[in-house]
Amino acid sequence: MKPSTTLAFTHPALLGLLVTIGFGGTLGLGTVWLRHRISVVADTNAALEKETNRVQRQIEDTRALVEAESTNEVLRSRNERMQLGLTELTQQQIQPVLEIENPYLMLAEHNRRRATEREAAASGVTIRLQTPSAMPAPEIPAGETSGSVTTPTASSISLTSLRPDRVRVALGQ
Amino acid sequence: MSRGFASNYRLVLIAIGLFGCFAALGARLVCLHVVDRDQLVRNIVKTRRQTIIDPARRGDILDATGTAILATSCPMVRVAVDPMMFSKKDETKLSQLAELLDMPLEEVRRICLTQYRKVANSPKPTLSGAKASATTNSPVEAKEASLLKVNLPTPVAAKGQDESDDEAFGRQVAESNDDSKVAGPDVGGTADAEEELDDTPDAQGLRPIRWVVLKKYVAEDTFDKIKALGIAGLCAPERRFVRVYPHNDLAAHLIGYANAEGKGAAGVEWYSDFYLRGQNGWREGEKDGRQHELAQFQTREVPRADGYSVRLSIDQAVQDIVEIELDRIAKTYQPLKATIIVSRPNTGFILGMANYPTFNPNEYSSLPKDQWSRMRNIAVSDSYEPGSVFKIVAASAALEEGLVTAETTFNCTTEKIAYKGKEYSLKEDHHFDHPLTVAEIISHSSNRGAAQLAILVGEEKFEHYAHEFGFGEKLGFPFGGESPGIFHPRARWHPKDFTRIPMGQAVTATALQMHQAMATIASGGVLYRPQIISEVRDPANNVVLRYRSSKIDQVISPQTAYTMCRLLQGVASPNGTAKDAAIKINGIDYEVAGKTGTAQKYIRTVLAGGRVKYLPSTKNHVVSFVGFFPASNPQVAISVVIDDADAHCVGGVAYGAAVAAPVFKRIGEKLIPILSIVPPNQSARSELAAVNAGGRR
Repeated sequence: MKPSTTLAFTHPALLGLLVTIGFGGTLGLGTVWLRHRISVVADTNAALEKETNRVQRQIEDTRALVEAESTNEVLRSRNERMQLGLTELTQQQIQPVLEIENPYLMLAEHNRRRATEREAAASGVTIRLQTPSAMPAPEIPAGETSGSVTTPTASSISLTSLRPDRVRVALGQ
Repeated sequence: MSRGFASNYRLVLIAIGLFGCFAALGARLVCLHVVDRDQLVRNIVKTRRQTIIDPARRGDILDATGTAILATSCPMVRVAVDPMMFSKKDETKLSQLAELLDMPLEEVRRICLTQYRKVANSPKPTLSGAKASATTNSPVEAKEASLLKVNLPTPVAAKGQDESDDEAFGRQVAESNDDSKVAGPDVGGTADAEEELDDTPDAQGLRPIRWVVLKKYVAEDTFDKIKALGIAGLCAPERRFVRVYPHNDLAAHLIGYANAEGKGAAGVEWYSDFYLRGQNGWREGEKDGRQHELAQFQTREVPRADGYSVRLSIDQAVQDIVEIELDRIAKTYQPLKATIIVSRPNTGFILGMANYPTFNPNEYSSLPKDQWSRMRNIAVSDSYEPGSVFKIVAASAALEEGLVTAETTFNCTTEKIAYKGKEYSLKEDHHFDHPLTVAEIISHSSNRGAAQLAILVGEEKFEHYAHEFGFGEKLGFPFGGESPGIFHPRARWHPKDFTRIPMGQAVTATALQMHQAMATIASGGVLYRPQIISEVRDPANNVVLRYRSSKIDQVISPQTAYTMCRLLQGVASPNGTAKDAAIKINGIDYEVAGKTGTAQKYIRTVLAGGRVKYLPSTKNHVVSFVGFFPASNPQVAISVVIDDADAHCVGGVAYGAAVAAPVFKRIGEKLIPILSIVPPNQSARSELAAVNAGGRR
C-alpha cells in the first residue's frame, strides 16, 4: 500500500517541532539560568557594597563617639573623678635648651666628654703649683715620665703622667 | 496491519493542537510586547522603577592640628512604619520597639496602629514634591518653611530730637548692640515629610496611611536591633547624616551650625558650605513586590562625592584656654558680655576667639527666644567705645609723621585743651605734675597727652590713620555679622569731638578691630585680614585649597611699629597702668606690650516725664586690655574685652588694669608652652627634651 502523504509530512513536522521545542527550551533555560546568575552576582555585589557602607558608617559613628569622649571637658571631669592628678603643663616646668640638631649626636658628645674625664682621672696626671724653695724633689714612680717647668715667679709646675696627652690639672699648695 | 493510536487523523489533530497552542502563545506575546507594550511599560515603571538617593557625607571641620574634630557628620537612620502592613503578630513586639526607640509605648502604639487619616474639609497644605506611591525609598522634597536667619545689627539711626551729640551717639551705640533685635536661628525647613498618604480616599473620606515616621534619628546599631524584631510593618530604612559637634560649645560662634536640611546656616558651616556639603549620589533601578532593590536591574549609578573637610587656624588647646578664662570671668564678675581673641599678629590667623555668653550648636534649635542673642559673635558684631586703647592711633600717627619722638614732651597738667580758638576741658584719670614724654603718655594713659598728639597730627591725617588701622570699616571677617563700628567722617566732627576721639570716646570699634589695630603694631606696621580657615582638604586628605595670610595695608613703617612696641611695653612695666599684665617666668621677662581701656557705657535712662535718654554711666564700663608679647619679637596677640563687670568689682567700678589685664597675663602664661613662644633676646628655642606633637598640646 502506498504510504499516506500526510503522514510523510506530519512525522517530520512533529519531529521538527519537538526538536525546536527542545532546542528553544534549552536556550530559554540557559538564558534564564544566566539571568539568575547575573542577578545572584549583582545581589552579592550589592550586599558587599552595603556591607562596605555599613562598616564605613560604623567607623564614622565611632569616630564621632571617640571625639566626644576626648573633649577637654570630659577628660578634665575624668581626671577629677578618677583622681589622676594630671595638671596642665606650665612654662615653669620647662628648661630652655640649646637648639638640638640631632639629639643622638648631642648624647654621643656628652658621653665622649664624660669618658675623657674618667680617663683623665684614671691616668693620674697631676700638676702642682708650688714655690721653688718649698718644692721638694718630686718622687717619680716607676714607668712614668716626668718633666718640670720653672717659671720666673715663685711657682713651678711639675707634670707626671702615664699618658702625656691626658692631663688633669690640679692646683694646690 | 494495526496502527494502534497513531492514525493519520489523530496525529494531524495532535499536530494541529500543538501548533495551535504555540500560535496562541505567540499571539499573546505579540499582544504583550507590541500591542499593549506602552501601557504595560508605564505600569512597570510606575511600580517597579525607583531612584535611590545616596546622601553625601558633609565634610568635617577640624582644628589647626587636624586632630580635633570640631564638627562631623554622624550616620543615622530614620525609622518609619507602614501601619497598613501591621499584623496582630507585630503588635506583641511594640513594647520592645518602644524600649529600643526610647519612646512611650502609647505613642508608638498610636503611630503604628493608626491606619487611616480623616480627610479635612478644607484643602490641606500639600507636601511639595511628595510622591503618591507608597515607596519608602523615594525621595521626598523639603516642605516649605519660613527660614529665619541671624540678622546683622540694625544700622545706626539718625539723631532724634532734643538730643545732644553725646546722647545721640550713646543711643546709636546702644541700638547697634541691642540684643532684642536679633532674629532667630535658621532652622531650615523640615527635611522630609512626616507622613506619606495614599491619594485616594475611601467612601468614608478616610485616607490610608502607608508611611509614617516613628523616630527621626536612630543609631545604626539600634536600627539593627529593631530590624531583628522582624516587624512586617517596618519600612526600609532611610539613612542620612546628622551634624554633630563633639566639643559642644567650643568655638561655637566660629563654627556656626548646619540646619535640619544639612545646610550651613552660620559661621564656617555657612561660609564653607560649598566645600562641606558634597554632592549626593543616586542610582536608578527596580524593586520587587517587597520593596527590595533588584540589583541586576540597575540602569544608572552616579557615585556620591563626600564633602571636603575644612581645617581652621583655631587651635583647640588655645580655644579651650580662652573659654576657661571666659568661664572664670563669668563666675567672678557676671558681666553682660565678654570676648577674648588670640591670634598670630604676623599672619592674621586667629588661634582662638570666644564670647560669653555662648551656645551649644548641638542644641541651637532648642534655644528659647530670649536667648537667641547668645548666638551672636559679639567679637565682631558688637562695637563699644575702646577708651584708652585707641590712643595708639594718635601716638602711631605722630611718630610716623615724624612730628614727635618717644622723648618729646607735652604739658598734661593743664585742665583745658585749646583747639580751633576754643578751650575744652579734658578729664584725666591720673594727676601729673610734670610734662610727659610720648612714652609716658602711653604708659600712664594720659587723655590730654593723646589729645595733643592728635591735634599735632591734624584732623585729616588723624582720620586717615584711623581708617588705615581699620576703624570705621569692615575688616572682611565673614563669620558673625561684622559691624564696621562708628567712626564719623571728619565733616561731622565737632571741635570738641576731636579732643575726645583720640582717647577713644565718640568712636566705637568691635573687639576684632581693636585686636587687629594692636596686631598691626606687633606685625611691623602691617594690617592683616583676620582669618580662621587655613586649608580645605578632600576626603582623601589631599589639600585642595590653602589660605595664606592676606595683607590689607602697610599702615605704619616697621621703625614706627618697633618704637610703638617699646612704648606699649611701658604700659606693663612697674610704672605703667597695667603692671598686672606683665609675664615673668623663671626670671625671664616676656616683654608684654599692650594698652588698657576703660570706657563708660551709655545707659538707657528714663527721665522724669517719661523721656528716654542715653547717658554715660559712672557705674557701667567696658574694660579691655589689648596687647601682645614679646615686644621685641611679637608672636601672639591677645585681646580681652569685658562688658559691665562693675557690680562685682572692688569699689563698684571696673578698670581695664584690674579686670582685663590679669586675664591677659593668665592666658599668656598658659600659651607660652603651647605655642612654643621664644623668650625675648634668646636665640635658643625652648623645647622639652622629649617632646612629640601630641605631647606639646
